[in-house]
Amino acid sequence: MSDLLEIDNLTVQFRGDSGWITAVDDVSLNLREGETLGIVGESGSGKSVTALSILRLHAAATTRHPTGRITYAGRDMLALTPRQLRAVRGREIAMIFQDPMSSLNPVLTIADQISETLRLHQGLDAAAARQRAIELLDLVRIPDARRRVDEYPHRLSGGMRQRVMIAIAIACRPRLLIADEPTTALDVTIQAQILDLLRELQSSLGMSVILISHDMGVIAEFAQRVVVMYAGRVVETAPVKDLFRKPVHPYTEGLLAAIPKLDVDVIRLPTIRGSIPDPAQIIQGCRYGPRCPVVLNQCLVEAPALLPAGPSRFARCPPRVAAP
Amino acid sequence: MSTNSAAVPIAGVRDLVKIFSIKSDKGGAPLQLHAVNQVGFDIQPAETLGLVGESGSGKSTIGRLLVGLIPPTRGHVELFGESITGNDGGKHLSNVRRRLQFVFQDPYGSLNPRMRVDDCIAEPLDIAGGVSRKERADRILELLEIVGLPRSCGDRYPHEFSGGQRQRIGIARALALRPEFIVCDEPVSALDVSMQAQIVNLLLDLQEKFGLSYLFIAHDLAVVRSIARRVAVMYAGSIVEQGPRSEIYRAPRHPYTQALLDAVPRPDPERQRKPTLGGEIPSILDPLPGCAFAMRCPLVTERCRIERPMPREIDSAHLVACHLA
Repeated sequence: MSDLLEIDNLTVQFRGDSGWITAVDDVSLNLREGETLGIVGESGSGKSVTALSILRLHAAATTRHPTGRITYAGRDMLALTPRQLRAVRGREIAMIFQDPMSSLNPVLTIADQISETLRLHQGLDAAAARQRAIELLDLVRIPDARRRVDEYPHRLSGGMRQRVMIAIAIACRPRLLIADEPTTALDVTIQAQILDLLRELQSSLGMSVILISHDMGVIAEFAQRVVVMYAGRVVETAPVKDLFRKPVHPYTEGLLAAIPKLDVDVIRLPTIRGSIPDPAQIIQGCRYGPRCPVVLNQCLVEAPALLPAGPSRFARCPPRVAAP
Repeated sequence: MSTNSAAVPIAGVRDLVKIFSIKSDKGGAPLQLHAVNQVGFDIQPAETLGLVGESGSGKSTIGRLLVGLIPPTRGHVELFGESITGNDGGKHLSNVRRRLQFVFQDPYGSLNPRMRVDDCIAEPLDIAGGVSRKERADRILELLEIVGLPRSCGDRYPHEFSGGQRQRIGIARALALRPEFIVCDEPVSALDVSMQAQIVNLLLDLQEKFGLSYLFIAHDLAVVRSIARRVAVMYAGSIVEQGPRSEIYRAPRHPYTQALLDAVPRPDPERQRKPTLGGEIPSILDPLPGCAFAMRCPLVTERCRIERPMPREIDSAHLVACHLA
């Protein structure tokens, strides 16, 4: 299968009080048609910043991309005019966010909000858009769609609001859905329902999906291939089973070990020493070096490259990759 | 309910009910929000009870009721063997206040941004009074060391610290008056995984060192398993199951506990989840008679919709509120 999306050497910087701060540093990744890619990382890893860059959703005045290229279906996303960009957003690439309450407009009904996309991109008239909105609510399993379509967001539970967001996102049958922490604000039983729904829609609509999450459990359950990010960089990428069976990068390893276990009793959880670095902090060599339990002198001097680490695998850890 | 009748529980709760009256958005009579519905449990010295539940289950309300931050509608709360809900309850509460503390979810929101860290930590000492300047300074250094922060932290401000470090400051502050019992309300929920493990281990170390008792409130079942020996599972204001951690996690008996455990995604791509539990958490405004879980329960019977199941001991210290268990 060919690549639907390709990000090459992307660097994203934001203007801070004392100069430009690098939030994403030399990130490359690709997404094949129909694939589900998980991007996992802790706060400040750059996972959301990378995703927002695809649709150029950062404030233009305070953001710059000193290096990099984002190619979606043969188009250079960083070079599109605002008009071309609007035609892609919501039609070919749709996005859902963590907090549906702040993504929905509180003074418009559900019908209004779903119709907006349909009228803009598909030119439907008001009656047809409303009818289609009801069908979409059915599709995302909102019970009693005919009545719910006229309600305001505050009348719906968190899970139902996220279903509405998904209905808006799939309204124009996008080829790519970017889901940024779509279940993080939801309770665990509702999270399971939303993940089921996304999975079904993906296969029935044939979408590619990028799922961004801090939760290794969600990633394991949903993604086919995983990109692990740390402090603005990709540290490892691998097919999901390989990653969880045998992580290569010490950060992935540490992160997996530190997750509280649901199925066994542990006396003490293994920890990763230190804390996540501030993006403004300059770190020589490997960014994980100061926290890494197997750090070598060379790691603190030279910034490691992302190297092949097995079939369809890459890791930014030369000592681990070079060793057999 | 107590497993060891000789020891006086640190905290004991019987038939606790909290109903909030809230204004109806349609006007008219206020609505009755049944946040906590006939809850009972004990916490023994040096023990951790984990209280888990999804949002709106009433777990945080229980934490606040337990330390007297809000009064219950009905029921009894005893702390260190003295009732804080009976006559003279207020007096008893002020007697025991120093012996209990609270650690909150959001260390950003619970530390005064304009206070230096040393003053944040020493504020409980200052309020309690009777501490010399030297004792105060020594105690601050001791507390910083106990929670694993460098001594130099004292003259900095909370915003200079990461989330995990701020939670350490919150814990140091809670320890200032040498409490015996700490209510921890989602203390690691706002933290990244790599920070979570550090704070969980710190709480375990402190318990060992000072013989602390915790009520550990969280929505994350795995975090609770890593810290609590006994676990109570809440749903829509009631405890549906409570017992030793080993039984709750290995052999859950309430259909909700089973569904909840199954719904948690594991870091294991090979795992197959059982069919997902449908429905949503019911409204706790004017709850229906019968079991609160009846609407979603895969095993529901006619009796469940009519008669509310009360907790029954099905094994030593393992209580389940289910007609079918």
